Amino acid sequence: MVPVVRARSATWLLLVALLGCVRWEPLTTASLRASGTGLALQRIRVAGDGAPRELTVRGVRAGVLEGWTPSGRPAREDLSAVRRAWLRRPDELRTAALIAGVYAVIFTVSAAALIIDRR
Amino acid sequence: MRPPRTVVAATLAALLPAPALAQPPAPDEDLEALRAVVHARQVAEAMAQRRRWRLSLGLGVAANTPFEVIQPERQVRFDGGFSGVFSANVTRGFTELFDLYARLEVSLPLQGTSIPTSIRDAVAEQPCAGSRRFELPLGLGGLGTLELGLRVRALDARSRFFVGLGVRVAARWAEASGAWSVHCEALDGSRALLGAGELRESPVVTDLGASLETGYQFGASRAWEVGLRLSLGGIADGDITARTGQWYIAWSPW
Repeated sequence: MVPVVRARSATWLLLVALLGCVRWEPLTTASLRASGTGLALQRIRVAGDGAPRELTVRGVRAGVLEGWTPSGRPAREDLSAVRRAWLRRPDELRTAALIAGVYAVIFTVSAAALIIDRR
Repeated sequence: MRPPRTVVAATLAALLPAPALAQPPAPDEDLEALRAVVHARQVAEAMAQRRRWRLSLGLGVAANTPFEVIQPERQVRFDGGFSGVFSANVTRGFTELFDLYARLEVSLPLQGTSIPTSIRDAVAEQPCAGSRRFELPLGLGGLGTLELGLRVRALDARSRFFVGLGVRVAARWAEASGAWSVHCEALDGSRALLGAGELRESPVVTDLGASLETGYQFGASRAWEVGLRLSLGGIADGDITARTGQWYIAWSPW
């Protein structure tokens, strides 16, 4: 059991390290209406009266948001029923901090090896 | 052994911008066309940021390896250790994948020392049944570098990761002045003075080398950059060795 948990943790750590970080940025319904195909293939989350739903945008046509669910099925959302929306964006600052940290570790280890080896 | 599919997918995902990750598997006759439009738009946005001359200023920390060279008039040695790096960079993308760059860099401080050939030869002529121990004044100096090179985007024009390869000309200098002495250390532990005096040396050593770097650009208009750089030297002498390793962060004001 423990090795399985460790392997899963390592996989998750690796995925987070490689995928970077994302954040959900609030989007006004007006800008969503006006987006046309400007948000095509981006992931958004919409919420009306029920639970928030995620979909990959194909486009907005005649007040209807068209796209695909995370499982790949076509989906349609009537924007008149949407109260709140969020757009998934890469969190560049966190990603950069992560990468800078990885580079710093590589630098420190390499520097120690370079200097100690030549001393 | 084949790498797990998730690791391959995650690696590819890290090299491509996030919007490209959200492509669904749904069959649709218009989907390919839509993907092409989105791809073209993202490439155009990336190229709009890269296809112009951009100045950036960098700060970093470098680990320097010890470096010794024999010139006709003197023998020069620079110690290894850490130094701060200040750089001014100019870059311009000229194709979807390639950028040109030029960099002017100063690395401070470095410690160096030098002994004139005349002193070394005079000491070498004196008999010594043991080893000669040189005590030379250590001076402070620096490293100035001019570099030209190419950067290539990882896999795709939209990628924020890049790998660069450049040619660099480096000049190291040091200002060493003070007392010097050379002792003969015998096997029984006794020391005999072979020579002593004062010297003032300002050696400058030039070096032709190469630079290999990798970095990640982030922020609005990709104005920030963090990276790693490895500099090699000794190309002109045919003795290529690692000179410095560097971690840096750079910012483009416009």
